[in-house]
Amino acid sequence: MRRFLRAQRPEKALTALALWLVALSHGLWLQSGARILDEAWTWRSSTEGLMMLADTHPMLFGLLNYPLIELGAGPQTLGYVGAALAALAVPLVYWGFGLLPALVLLFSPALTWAMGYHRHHALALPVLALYLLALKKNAQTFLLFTASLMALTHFQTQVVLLATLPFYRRETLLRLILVLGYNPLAWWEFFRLFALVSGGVGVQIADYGGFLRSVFGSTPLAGLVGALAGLGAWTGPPYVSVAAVGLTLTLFLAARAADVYSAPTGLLLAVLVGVGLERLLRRQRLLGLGVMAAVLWGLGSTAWEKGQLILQQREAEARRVLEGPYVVRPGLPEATLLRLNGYEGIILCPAERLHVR
Amino acid sequence: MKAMLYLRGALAAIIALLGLIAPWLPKVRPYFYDPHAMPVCVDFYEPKGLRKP
Repeated sequence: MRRFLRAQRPEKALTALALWLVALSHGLWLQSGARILDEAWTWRSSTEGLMMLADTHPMLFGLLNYPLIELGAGPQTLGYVGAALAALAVPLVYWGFGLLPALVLLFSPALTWAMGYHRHHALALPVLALYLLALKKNAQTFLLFTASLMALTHFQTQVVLLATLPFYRRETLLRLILVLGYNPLAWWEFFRLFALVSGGVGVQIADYGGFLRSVFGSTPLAGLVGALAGLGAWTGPPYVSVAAVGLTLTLFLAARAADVYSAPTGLLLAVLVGVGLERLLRRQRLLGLGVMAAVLWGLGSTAWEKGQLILQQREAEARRVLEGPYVVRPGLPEATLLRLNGYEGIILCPAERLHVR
Repeated sequence: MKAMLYLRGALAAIIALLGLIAPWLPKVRPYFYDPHAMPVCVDFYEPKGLRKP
């Protein structure tokens, strides 16, 4: 890792910093809306820090949030921190795969979803980028560290980890088993997963179209994005395409497909599209430039549309709470939990817990 | 080596196909965008005489 960092040129670091700042400014804008019961996870994670550690999701997100909550951070601060972390995916992809994949990611709806909502799979974005970087650099210790992070971040990163195991060398795979086996957090994950699988938990959402439109863009240009990603899958790193197809297949089979869940798949696709673009630009410069503009337009317009959707939903929710009629009763901390589990009744929310900006 | 080629081809084809069909799949609106759009069941609160939304 140290050798890798020393090998980087300063202008590369500056470009990475600039990419992060651009992504960050977009993220801060997405998180700057009204904040009243806006997004259940952000609200819940900022009010119930300890509960989040025993959540159905892996614990890294809760572990990161907990000290901030103890310092008194509300949903707004947590949202900003989450956006800053998710934005790190762009410079990391730049470091691993070059400028074009990073640009595609910057314009993609995947980044918008991850930065707009402070959720577990938002954290999956930088972790996944770090993991792909480690796979690309083929540095064993770095790879083992990021693989442990993948195991502790989200169900989707766990699926990607599983899908990429065939690309490990034999001794790295054995060392990974040791690293995870001696990590108490990984054991906790194993027990949690066992309980989840045996209990059958969660709401099934089968919005396959919404998922794919968030990955490929909602305009007819999605076909072009797909073709370019196909070119990337044909010529680029095979672990990225295996991970992308494996993850999509798992989410479809488990009926966990919706546009907010599409961020990790979107990152994998952005890498493939970027690699395909590079290939095309090397062969056909003019055609490549035209295709690049079309792809960035197709993804960027979808990302803009999704960003507007996130902001509008927050504002509509805030207005509803302020204007009523809302039945308010003190002491119902599990309101968001009920909603997330499909409870369809009225949510009674204590006024002092509404974070009105 | 040939198996790797087939794998790459299959993956590329699947990804391109998914992109091709993406804009034309039906639109679904998951409940988490707008929890208030869900059918509201109020009878749980009725005995207390609370105002219906």
